Amino acid sequence: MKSFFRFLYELIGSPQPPSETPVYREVIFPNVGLLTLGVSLALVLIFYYLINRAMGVATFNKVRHWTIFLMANAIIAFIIAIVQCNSQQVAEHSYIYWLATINALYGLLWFFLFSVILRKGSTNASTTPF
Amino acid sequence: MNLPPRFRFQPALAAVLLVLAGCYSRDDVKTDGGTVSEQQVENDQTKMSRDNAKVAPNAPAPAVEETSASAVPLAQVNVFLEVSGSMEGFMPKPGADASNTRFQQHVAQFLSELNNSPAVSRKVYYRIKEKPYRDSYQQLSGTVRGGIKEPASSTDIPTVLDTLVSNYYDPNTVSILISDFIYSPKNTGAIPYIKTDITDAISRTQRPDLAVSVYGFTSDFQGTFYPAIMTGARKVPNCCDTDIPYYFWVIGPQDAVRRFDAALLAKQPAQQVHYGIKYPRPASSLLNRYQNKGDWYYGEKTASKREAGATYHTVAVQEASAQNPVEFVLGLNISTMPALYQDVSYLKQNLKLVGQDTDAKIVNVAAATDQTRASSGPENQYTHFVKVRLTKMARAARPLQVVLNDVRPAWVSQWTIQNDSNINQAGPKTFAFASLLDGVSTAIVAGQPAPVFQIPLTLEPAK
Amino acid sequence: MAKLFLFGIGGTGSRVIRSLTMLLAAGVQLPNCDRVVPIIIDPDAHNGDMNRTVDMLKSYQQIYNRLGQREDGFFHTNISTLSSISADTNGGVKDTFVFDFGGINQSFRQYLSYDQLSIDSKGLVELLFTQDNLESPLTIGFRGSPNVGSVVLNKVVDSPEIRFFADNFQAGDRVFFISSIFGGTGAAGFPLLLKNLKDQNTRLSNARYLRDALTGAVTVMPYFALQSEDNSIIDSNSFLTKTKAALSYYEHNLQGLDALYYLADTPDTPYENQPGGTAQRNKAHLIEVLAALSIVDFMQYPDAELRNGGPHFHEYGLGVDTQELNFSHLPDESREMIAKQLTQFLYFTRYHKQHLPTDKAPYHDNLNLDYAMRNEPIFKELNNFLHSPEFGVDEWLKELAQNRRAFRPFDLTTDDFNAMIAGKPVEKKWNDFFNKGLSQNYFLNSLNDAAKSIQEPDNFKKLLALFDRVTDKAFEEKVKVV
Repeated sequence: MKSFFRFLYELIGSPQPPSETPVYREVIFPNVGLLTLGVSLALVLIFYYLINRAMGVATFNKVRHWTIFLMANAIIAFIIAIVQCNSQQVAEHSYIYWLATINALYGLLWFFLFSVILRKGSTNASTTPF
Repeated sequence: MNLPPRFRFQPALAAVLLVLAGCYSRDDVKTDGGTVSEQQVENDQTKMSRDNAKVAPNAPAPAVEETSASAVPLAQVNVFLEVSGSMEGFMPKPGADASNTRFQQHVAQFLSELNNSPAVSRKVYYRIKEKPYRDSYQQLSGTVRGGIKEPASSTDIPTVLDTLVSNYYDPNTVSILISDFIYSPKNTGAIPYIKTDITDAISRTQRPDLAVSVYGFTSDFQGTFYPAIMTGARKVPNCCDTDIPYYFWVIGPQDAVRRFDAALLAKQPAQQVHYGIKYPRPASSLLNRYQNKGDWYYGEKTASKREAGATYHTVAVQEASAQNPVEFVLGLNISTMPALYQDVSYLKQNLKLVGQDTDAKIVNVAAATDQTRASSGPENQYTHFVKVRLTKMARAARPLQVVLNDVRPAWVSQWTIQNDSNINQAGPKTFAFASLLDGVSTAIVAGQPAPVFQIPLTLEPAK
Repeated sequence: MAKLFLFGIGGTGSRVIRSLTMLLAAGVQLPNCDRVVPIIIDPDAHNGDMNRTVDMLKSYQQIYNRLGQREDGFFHTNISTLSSISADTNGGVKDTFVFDFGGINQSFRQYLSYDQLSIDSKGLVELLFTQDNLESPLTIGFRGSPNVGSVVLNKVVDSPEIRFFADNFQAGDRVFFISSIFGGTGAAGFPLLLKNLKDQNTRLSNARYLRDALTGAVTVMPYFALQSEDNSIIDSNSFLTKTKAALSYYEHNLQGLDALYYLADTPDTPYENQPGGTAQRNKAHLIEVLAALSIVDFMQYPDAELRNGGPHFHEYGLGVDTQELNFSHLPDESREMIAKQLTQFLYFTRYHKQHLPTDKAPYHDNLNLDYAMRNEPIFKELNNFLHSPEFGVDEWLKELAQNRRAFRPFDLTTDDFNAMIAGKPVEKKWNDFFNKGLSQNYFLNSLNDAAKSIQEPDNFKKLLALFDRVTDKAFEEKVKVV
């Protein structure tokens, strides 16, 4: 699990400053990774199963609505990374924002993947985004 | 439950905030997937002594041990004041002008402090003549203040030392000898054997745990100076224009000596040298946010927990080159060590790195500043900072030790003179002092002196 | 395989069959038969009412054939042409809903071969028929002249169609006649056909079945007037006189009838006077819906009850005498027959028009509607049936609403499904933010939901099944009762 997230987040290079590497690898990467996965899953569930199934809203299923959730997910993913870095009190570094950015991208990816996997179970958005 | 909608969302919001705090914390960091490389480290280090190679991330808390020990007072201290004629100059009878010597001032104050100190349960006072005579504090203090009533003809230092080592050596007990330590052999032919005489005297009774701390002071001197080398005048009356050194020798089992030093002599403005004391390894840690440079981080598995008070001794180097050197700082807390070992210039000279396959070297040693003490980071725990630089990466984990060598301090030779017959010109020096200490050293420290302390570190390539 | 043979005679026959078809399309149950065989008997081959009824029947048939047999739902009753009930047509019966008069492109005089008749016969003819009767071309029917019709229609019995009908008549099949009593074709044709089918000495096959067959009829008495034109052949002022005469004839000469339904109304606004041809295209009228209901009513009787103590005579009475009727003005019995089905059908029609082409939703994608509605013929056919300006459901409802008496069960001007049932808006709960009644969202959600649960590979069948279920749900959940 940790090595998986480490692999994902170190695609953009090693954590900076280097002295914070253990905290990033052992705490922040898994936390941010799991949270982002969780939030993406939650948003997908909200979009497909709460709004577009349980609540019976049938007019919130267009690609643009999905995109709103996608973007919200990316923003939340960005914030998750920053909040995590701050709460773990790692040294200030522009790397935090790079991490947040790549996490936002992973947020987009997770949301997309979960959408593809789970959309069939939705009533009103089972063909969103395509 | 007919709450307005915005209240209904509050639990959800709270849940979200909880979740945002994260599931991984530093407390529950598990070592998943790190065991193999640890094994690798072990294998690489099999040549090394296991003690050195196996670096405990949380070093055994020496500070704790020390404080608990020092909380128990020493059982007894025996104070010996030499009252031979040569000491009269330090303790002149009070004159009309009510002046006294610095010796009187200092020793009286020290005796008072000692007598009132809770660090020692029982204080016993002796005058040293040809042999020790039991005194009370009042009597001894009176002697210091009022001058020596019946000066002994002379005292033979090896004899005194032999007496103290043989008869006054007890666990948890120290003897402190206050004297000018001018050792004049019976004949000049014995002068080359001073060292041997001292060694023999101390070694006659085998005391495997024996330690000696020597503190050197100087005082003005108002009386007759008896030089050890009597090639010129047998004595120099109305001496002296120069200050004359005097010494406290603390003798006893090493841990008692160490504790006595720390309790009563740490603040003495004295030169000092120590033999046979084993100091606990001082608290230390690498500091990853203090003057560090380059790509390295704590190699400990638990580093990410960053528990309060945790210490780190493993440097995981990601990259090191001449252009991009790694610099790391080791914080040391040596506040309980004798002042000698806290002296930055002593440390700069005698702190060494011992390692293999590395070009790491100490580039700076600095004492704590107000800034570091006021810092919120872990550097506020430490009194000294050792900065190490390296530009080459090891291929595998390697031990690296920061060692403080026990080297005779420079003052010893500076305070030594081979002929004290002309003391006023020679200045505050003591005849054959270095030889005396060599004798002590030979008796206590067999062969190469052990380092004062060593901090084992590990250098490893980043995983 | 009981069948209902439905003889729609004259313009009234066409119009009643149109309304019946609408009711069947809406899913009204027609028990005791599994196939309706309408036979329109109208010598006026260009009659507008007839032609649009035939177009609609063809459309219905295509849709039914695609959907197949089902227990209920839209288009679940099989309506087929006479020729399609048997493969053995001898080549003489065309695949059409209309009786083939073989193109009587003659005047009545020529038809009678008047000029070859003897003097005595000529005298009799001149006694029975006016000069106008003799000169009028038969191509536009009998124009309110039963005396002409009775002669011409007598020939029908010898036609290949009637023989084919008789050949394929089976025990349990029922026969129903629709005619107006005051017109030409209907007034003459109904007793004539009845007499021939029930004739003891008929040359038709299956005579015994025919005689024993349960037979019903609806006779529409005058319910409209025509604008008076001095030179017009048809004068509505004679309607009552003709009706009286016909009734007195019926009194003694309708043998073998098990149930007879009388419908009448007091005329109000006169129709434009069109004696026949394509211009005779009258707006759908409530009376035709009621006449269609008489067929439903007839079919609801079990055999035993009809045979017992017949013939049964029925008249119809509205609860309230008003010029604008909605569901609440119908008697309970009628309302239960059609209100729910028509409401569902309206929702389907309106949704089909308003939202179906533009919906972006899973059910839409699931049915591949974007492609299907543009390219698949059956989808176009459905579109015709619902929205054709000639014969579509929209048009039918509009005509009913515009006529006098107006039948306005629905507010056709609104786009709001909640307000579509006249006088019975869907209750919306204002305290519940998510309950918007019959919003588009409601339909979308139901459609998407149904699209997931209905397993049907054929997208057209599935579309109909979807709307069956969804409009049923909408009615049960939101409308509940009309």
